[in-house]
Amino acid sequence: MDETILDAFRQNGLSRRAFLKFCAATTSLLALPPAAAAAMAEKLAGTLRPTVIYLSYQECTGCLESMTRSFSPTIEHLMFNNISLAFNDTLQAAAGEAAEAARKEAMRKAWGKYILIVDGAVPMGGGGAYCVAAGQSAVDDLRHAAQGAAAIIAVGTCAAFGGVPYAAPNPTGAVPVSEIIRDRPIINVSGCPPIPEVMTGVIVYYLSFGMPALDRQGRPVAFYGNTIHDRCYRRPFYDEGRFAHTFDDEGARNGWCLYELGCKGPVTYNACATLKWNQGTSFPIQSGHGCLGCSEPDFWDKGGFYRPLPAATGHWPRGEVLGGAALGGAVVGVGAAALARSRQQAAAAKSAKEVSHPPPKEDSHEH
Amino acid sequence: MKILDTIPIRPAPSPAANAPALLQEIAAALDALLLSRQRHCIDLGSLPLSPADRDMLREALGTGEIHMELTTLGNSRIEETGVPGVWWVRHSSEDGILLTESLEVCHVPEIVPADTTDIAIGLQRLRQRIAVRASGGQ
Repeated sequence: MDETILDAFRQNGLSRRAFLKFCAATTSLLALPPAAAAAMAEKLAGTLRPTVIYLSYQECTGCLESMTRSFSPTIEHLMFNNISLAFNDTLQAAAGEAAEAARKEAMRKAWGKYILIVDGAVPMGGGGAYCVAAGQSAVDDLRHAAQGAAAIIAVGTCAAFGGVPYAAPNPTGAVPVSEIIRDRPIINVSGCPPIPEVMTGVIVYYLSFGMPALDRQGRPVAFYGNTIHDRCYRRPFYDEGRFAHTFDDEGARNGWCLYELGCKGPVTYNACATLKWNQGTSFPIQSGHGCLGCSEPDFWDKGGFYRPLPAATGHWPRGEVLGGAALGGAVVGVGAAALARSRQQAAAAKSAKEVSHPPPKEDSHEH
Repeated sequence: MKILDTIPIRPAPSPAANAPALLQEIAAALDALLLSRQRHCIDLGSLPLSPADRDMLREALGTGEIHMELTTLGNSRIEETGVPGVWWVRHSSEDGILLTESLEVCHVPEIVPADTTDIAIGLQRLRQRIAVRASGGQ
C-alpha cells in the first residue's frame, strides 16, 4: 500500500510520459493554468495512493452510473493508478460479510487518512431506521466512517444538499452529509447526477493540491464557479430577447433561449455548458430542454421545472448571500432588477423558512 | 427524418476573435524562451476558439519538420509548427477522444525525452534479457 501514484503507473507498465499526459489532460479538465500540470505531476509522483471508501445511503446509484462513464480520467484509470478503492458495494466483487470485513480492515489500516466518498442523503427519521445495512443505520455508519476520514466528498445533490429524499415532505427525515458531520472537510460535488468528469476531476485535484477552493455551498469553484446561463451558447439569444415560448414554436426550432420555458440556467452553478455530457456530446439546453437546476439545493421544491424564474435578472435568488460577485452579472434595467430582487428576497425568505434546517449544536461552541 | 431537414439551422457567424491575441502571446513566449529559456504553454481547450480562429492560427504558424506520435494511454500527436520552438500538442484518450490540445513554446516538449527512472527500468529489463540469452535460455 506504500506505493506512490507514479509507482502505480509504473507497476501497470506505464511510463512517466503516460503520467505527464494524464496530468496534462486533468489540468486542462480542471481549467487550471497549463503550468499547473508540472506542479500536479511533481505532487502526484510523490503522493501515496490513498484508500478510498465509497459509501452509498439514500441514493439511486445514478451518481455512480455517471462516474463510471467518466472518460477523462476514467474510473478504471483512477482505480488502477491513483486510488485504492477499498469499498464500493456496487463495483466490488465481494458481498455480505466478506465485503464488510474488507471494509473494516481497509478503514483500520488507513484510519485518519482515507478519503470518504458519500453518495446519497442520510435519513434521520425513526432513529435512522429508513436506511440500514449490515445491522447499522446510515447515520451511525457515516458518523463512524467520518471519524477516520481525512476528507469527505459528498457526491451528488442528495449527499450535498439532501436532494430528492430531502424534498418536501421528506418522509424519512433525510439530511445532507454536512448536517451530520461538522468536523471534517467536506467537498460538495452536486448534480443529479454530477458530471462524471467533475467527480473524477475533484478526486484528482484533491490528491494533487489538497482542498480545492469552494463556493458558499461547499462546491469546487473550478466546476461550479459559473452559472449555466453565463456559459450557455444560447446566451446571445437571451441578450437579444429572443425566446422559445413553447417546445414547438419557431423560437424552439431556431434554438432560442429557453428562459420562458422554465430554464433554471441563470441560477444554477455547474459546468454542463462547458464540459457537457456523454464525452462532450451535448447538454440539456443543447438538446432543447431547459436546465432543471439539479446541482442547486432544494431544486426539487422550487415550484415546477417549467415555470419561468421570477424575473429576467440573471442572478441566483439568494443574491444577497453571494453578494456583489453574483450581482455583477446583472443584465438590464436597474428598476426591473430592484423589483426582481425584492421579489426574490421574499421568495428566498419563504423557501428558507420552509426548508429551515435544525440549528447546528456545534455552532454555539464556535461563537 | 426528412422533417428534421426542414428545421432551419443558422450557425452564428464566427469571426477570428482570439487568434490575433494568441499570436502575440506566442511571440512574447518565444522572446522569453530565447532570453531566459522559459517554457510556456497555452491550453487551447480553455479558450473560446471559432473555426476561423483555428484557421488563422494554423495558417500563421504553418507546418514544421517534426511530427511525433506518442502511444500511451491512447494516442497523442506532437507536431512542431513552422515556427521553430512552437509545438502543437494533442492528447487523445484510448477511445480516440481529444483530451487536451495545447501550444507549447519550448525547445522540446517535456513529455518527449525519456525519463531517468524509465531508462533505469528499461536497462534492468535489457540486462535480464542479455543474461537469459547468455545462459542459453530464450
